[in-house]
Amino acid sequence: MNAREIDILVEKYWDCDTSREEECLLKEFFSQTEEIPDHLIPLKSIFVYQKAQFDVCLNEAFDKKILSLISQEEGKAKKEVSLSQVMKIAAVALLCVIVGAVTVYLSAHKNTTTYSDTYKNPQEAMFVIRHAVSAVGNNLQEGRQESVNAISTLNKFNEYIQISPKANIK
Amino acid sequence: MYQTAFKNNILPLKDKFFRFALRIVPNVNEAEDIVQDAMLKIWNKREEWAGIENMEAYCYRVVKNLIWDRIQSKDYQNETYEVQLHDGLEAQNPYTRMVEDEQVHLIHRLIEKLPAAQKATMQLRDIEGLPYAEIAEILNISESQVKNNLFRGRKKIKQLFEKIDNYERP
Repeated sequence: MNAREIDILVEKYWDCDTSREEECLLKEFFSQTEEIPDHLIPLKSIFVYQKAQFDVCLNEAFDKKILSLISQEEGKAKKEVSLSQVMKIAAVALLCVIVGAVTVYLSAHKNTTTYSDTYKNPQEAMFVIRHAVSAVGNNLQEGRQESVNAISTLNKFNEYIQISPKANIK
Repeated sequence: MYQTAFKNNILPLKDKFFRFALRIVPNVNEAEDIVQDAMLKIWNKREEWAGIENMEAYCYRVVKNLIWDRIQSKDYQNETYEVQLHDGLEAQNPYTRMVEDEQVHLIHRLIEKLPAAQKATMQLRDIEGLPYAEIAEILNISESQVKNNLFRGRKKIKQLFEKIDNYERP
């Protein structure tokens, strides 16, 4: 590459019209110590500076540190996963306990509503039932008699009402 | 599976991220912290990797966001980072080397004083050699803004060298 071509490239560089390849050519050209025209020598520092900056890097200890931190992060994530699994299991167990407790309560409640034998001796039971039925029958009889009395009173009253107006008109 | 992918594809990008961070935050420890935080952040998003089209640009964006968070909360004007530039210089005699050293130092100081967006653009283009489209994606700006940032940054360097050239001429 001759001085004229370099001059053109440098002008393009200042105007930001150079391609990446052309910028690489400039870096290569200025990184050599020989054959740089006098008027371009001051520009050498720019490209030397760029080249030197590219050599700045982190050491290998950084890699180890990052990989170690990443392993720790992954360990934490696994612990979080296992913790969430434990929580899920606990939730399912709690649900089972609640369902069990409700079932036991309902079945116990059902037992209290079922009927159980009061008398072990059938004759004694029959006597009690007869007594109860007789008492109900007596009460019904008393009720009937009172009803008949009430009806006869009402009939008398009706008769009185039917007779009285006619007597007044006459 | 993720660890292998991280080790092979993401961890090797650490130097690029470090240089990028160091360009904006001129403090080695802080730049290293940013890269570390970025690596962990990327690792924690490992389940989303499959859907990422350009992994390098994605990682750069994570680094850029962390850098921007830091510079919004701090003032870096009084801190400077000096790169060891001698390895990149191949000057033949002590005088030439001294002059180049001085010029390189001037470039470094000038770039340090540029706005963050210009520094970031120059780093990604002039040091890392990324295409404009990718720089735009990383910095979340348009390609024309990338070119504009780059043009302004280079222009300041050009002006510096014009001053040096005028000063050195008899």
